[in-house]
Amino acid sequence: MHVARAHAGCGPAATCDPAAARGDDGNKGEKLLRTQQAKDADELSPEHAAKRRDGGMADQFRLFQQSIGNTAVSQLVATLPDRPATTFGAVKADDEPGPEPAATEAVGAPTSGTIPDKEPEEVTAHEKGAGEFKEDASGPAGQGRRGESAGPSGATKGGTLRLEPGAVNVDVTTPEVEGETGRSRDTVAVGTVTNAFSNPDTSPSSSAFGSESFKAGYKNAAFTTAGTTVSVNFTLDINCPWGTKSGGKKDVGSGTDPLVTKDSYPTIVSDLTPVLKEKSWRAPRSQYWSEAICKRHERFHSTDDKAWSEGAGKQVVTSYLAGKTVNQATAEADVNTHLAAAVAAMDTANFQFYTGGAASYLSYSGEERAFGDGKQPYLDLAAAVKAQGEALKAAATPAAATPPAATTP
Amino acid sequence: MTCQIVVGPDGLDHRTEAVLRRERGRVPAYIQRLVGESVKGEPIDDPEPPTVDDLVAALEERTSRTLGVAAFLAGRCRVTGEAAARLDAALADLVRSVRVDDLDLLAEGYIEAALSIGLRGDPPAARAALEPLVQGAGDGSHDWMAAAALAQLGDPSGWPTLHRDLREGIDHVRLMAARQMVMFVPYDGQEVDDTTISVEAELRRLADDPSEWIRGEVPGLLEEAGFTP
Repeated sequence: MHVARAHAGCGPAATCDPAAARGDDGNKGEKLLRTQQAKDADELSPEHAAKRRDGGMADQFRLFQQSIGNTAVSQLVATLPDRPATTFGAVKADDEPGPEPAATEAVGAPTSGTIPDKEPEEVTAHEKGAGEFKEDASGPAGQGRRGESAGPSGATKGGTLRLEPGAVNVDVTTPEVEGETGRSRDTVAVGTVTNAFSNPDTSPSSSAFGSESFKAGYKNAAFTTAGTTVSVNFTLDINCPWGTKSGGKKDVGSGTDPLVTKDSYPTIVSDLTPVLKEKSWRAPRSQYWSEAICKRHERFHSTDDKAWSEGAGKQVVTSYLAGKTVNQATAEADVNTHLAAAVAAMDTANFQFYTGGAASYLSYSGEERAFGDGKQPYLDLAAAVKAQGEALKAAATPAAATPPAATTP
Repeated sequence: MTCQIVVGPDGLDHRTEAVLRRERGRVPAYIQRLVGESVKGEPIDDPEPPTVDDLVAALEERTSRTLGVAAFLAGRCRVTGEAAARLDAALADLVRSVRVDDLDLLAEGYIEAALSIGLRGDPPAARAALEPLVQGAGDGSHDWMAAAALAQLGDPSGWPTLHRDLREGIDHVRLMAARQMVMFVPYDGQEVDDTTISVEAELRRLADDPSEWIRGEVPGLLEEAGFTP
């Protein structure tokens, strides 16, 4: 059973510091390392035996770290001479891990590189390497070690380097997809609508007024190697297209919309007056809708996703990458694979964030927020329609009949 | 053969009505995600349920995007005979063929598959698959989910793990852990590894969480768990 951890950077009325939390992840990292050692023991290859030795050293480092504290260790590490990013310390396949990798045995492997962009997309393809763990799977080393940290030597061997997220930016675009909801199988380039769904009448989602989707990718990725650590800088490329559609309903733009008549206004008011269902204030919209407010709703989802991507979502990605390992000879491909897997993890987390914890769609916290945002605009519009409708009705009604003045023939 | 998706206790007393309400609400969105229509928006009323072929294919393909929802739906797919046997085999194969210490992107799918095995009649196998995760064998990203699944299976041993995740530095993990608290209501007051299960106290503590996402959900989570928001 775990030893309960208290992250110094996180708690009530405190500011959560993910970096601090990662740094304080010693128990988990140790736990994972021990798991790795157990796994290695089953496999009995020389490589795995060496890995087990590495783990033992990392354990010793952690004990040292725990005894004097992270800050002191950081200060100690900071006193070590810098390793230029362009020199690479090769680690011989059979060597014992040491406190310093040799700095002279460059092997010609990439010490820095750029990674092709991955456009935001719904992650439907099987991510190569990551997420595939059948016995014949091959992929970068060190899968699935969230927050694992290597020892002072990097605790790596055989050309295996530890991956570390460097500068991570988040670029979110929230384009409106004209004429269709975001759920369509549209083709959307970053920030630019290149195509819209063309067959809305047969869409299985034709009953919906709008939707928004989350697509994650990365761009401007580059890595540098320093010692046994590969640092990767990249920009998370998030695309959240959204759209609305009428579903055959009539759009009421304002209280003075021509659709508002003395006869139609009661139905319009009823259709546009939000009713609390579960946790969401939702307008019935049986015959009439407000395109503007529906757009506001979907745009709200996209800004929700923007905030999530820049905060919790980015944490998911960086914690996923932290401690992953790459092979020095295939660093570029491995970093690319890990980045693809990281955005897949982000996609899963975003879906969990949206759907989890509530009884149904109208209780999802994201919908509660989005419908809540639209409540007052609906109330204002319904009130304006009512005022206009009543005025039109009054104008059309003959003034109360006044008995004609008696005339004397 | 088309599934009839039925969400019920399936003989597990600790699957409370609150848990079942959540699951019923998720079915439409999960079906949509399975067929590639994963969006934020009103789900289709009465979406066409998946077929056994759909589910088995997704369980075999193991794409991170659909594995979890396929494994969830497979546990609630009511079919009989050969179709049921195919689902059972696909779930068992998934759980058996991956290493619990190396789940990576498959973590969600693995845990859903394990719970589904329990729902389909083999709770001991489900618990055996899940227990290592709350004992520290996994990468930590989905321990909260394993703890919640075990709670539904009558085993509160994941509480210390959940308790730890409620203090995790990653907002997403803390939020997910908070959302699982309702699973532990049947065990409220019990002690697991010197940690007392106290759903209300933990949720009220989260009302001061640094994350506004979490703070915003606390009232609803308290209400769902039967406490005054």
